[in-house]
Amino acid sequence: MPVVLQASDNQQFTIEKAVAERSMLLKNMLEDVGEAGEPIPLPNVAGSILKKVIEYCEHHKEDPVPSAEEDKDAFESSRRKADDIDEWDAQFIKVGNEELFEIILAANYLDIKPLLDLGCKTVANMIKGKTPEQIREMFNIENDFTPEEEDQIRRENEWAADA
Amino acid sequence: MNSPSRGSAQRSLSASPRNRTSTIFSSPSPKSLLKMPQFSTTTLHKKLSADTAPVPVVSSSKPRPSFPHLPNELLLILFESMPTKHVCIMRCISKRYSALATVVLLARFETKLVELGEKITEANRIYRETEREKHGDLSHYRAYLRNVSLNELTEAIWYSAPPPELQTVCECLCILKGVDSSVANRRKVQQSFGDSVEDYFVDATMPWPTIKKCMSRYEFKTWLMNLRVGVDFIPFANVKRVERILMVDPQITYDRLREVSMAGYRLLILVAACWQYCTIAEDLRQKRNDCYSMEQTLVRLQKFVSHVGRKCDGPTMKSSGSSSVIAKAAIC
Repeated sequence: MPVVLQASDNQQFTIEKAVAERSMLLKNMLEDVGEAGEPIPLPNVAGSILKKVIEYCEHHKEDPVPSAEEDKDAFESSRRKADDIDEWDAQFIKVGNEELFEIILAANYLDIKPLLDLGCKTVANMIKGKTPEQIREMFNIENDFTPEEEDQIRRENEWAADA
Repeated sequence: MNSPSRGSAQRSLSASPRNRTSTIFSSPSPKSLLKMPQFSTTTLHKKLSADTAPVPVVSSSKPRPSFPHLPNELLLILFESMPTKHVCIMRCISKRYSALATVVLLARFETKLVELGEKITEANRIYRETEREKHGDLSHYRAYLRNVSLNELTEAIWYSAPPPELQTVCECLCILKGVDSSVANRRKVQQSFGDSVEDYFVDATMPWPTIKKCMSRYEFKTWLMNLRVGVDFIPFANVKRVERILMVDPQITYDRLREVSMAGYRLLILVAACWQYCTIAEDLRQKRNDCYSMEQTLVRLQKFVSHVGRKCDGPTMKSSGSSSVIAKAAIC
């Protein structure tokens, strides 16, 4: 039974149920309301982003769904292995900053943990080796610290550095 | 643990500015939908659509800075996925990022402090046990280094062309003393393994005149006489070099040396005692250093937690739930 998703710009996407169920949000919803065949509105996700998310879900539709405990362990270990990104995923996530953050937002909203992890890993890799100034510049963030506050944070960071 | 979980992040997503545009799933979490009465799809759609405000259209001509607009909850998830070093860098970006990164670090360190405390206790226990176990061995090997006679040395350096075994033992003593001729004397050796021929480097044997000259010095004799104390200052790298020589050369055995030269035999006893003593001492030193290094990390983490946690209403951090911590961080 196909599932129809409707993006914020009214674009509609018809996908397999197995693909839709990569999203815990949609999975729970389909379990609750059954399969009526009517479009499911996703007003927080634009059509272009939803298309990308569906592409990801289609590619990973056969992946086993990790249990909560496994998921926690995987998350903990993924923190240590930010480089450990599957080749297809790496190609998939090669998008502009704007689109990357929209994908992260969509993954969080749709509750697709592997996609959220992928987005987080990608951002983590982007900031790897960058100075705070470079990160601010890259993401257009204003530095609202006074020089004294910056010094203090640096001092505090030294205590945390080797943890 | 007070670490803000994804679940809590999602539950509080409704509070973020980003999600104020839609309330589709903001009040109940996806899981809680299971507990809601069953709606037909049409009813659900009507209900959902009624609360749904249109998503603002973003002008493509003026790109908006996206990263700072991620809600706090997502930034927390993002920071949680980063290694500690990167989270520390995020503390330097801006006040908002600093507050959020601090929450992640404090939650992480809270667990880490407990783990580290347990590790230190275990490491100290192992160190103390090993020290107790090995104390006898250390005393035993050190005993061989007392009352070293110079007669063997005198006899050894008397040779103009010593037996190779004696030369090797004397070379070992020179290495232990710190005479470094290995780099200069490294030689390339070609060895065939089946069809292939491979090059590798080995430490060449020190020439006898070099060994003899070195062992004839007053400084060397003093070092040998005080080996009981000096053994603690022999660099472990030198001991490893000697170990390699002793293990590789099949001719270096007590029996063989006894046959060749009694002076060589007694010097071999000295070399072997140094080797054994230093190997045990190094093991203990390593264990002690591990304990010390972990204790230093613990102290630094405690400093961080007490200093930064206090600023962020530290005493309540442990008792408060993750959502209130997030709220406090956001206020910070």
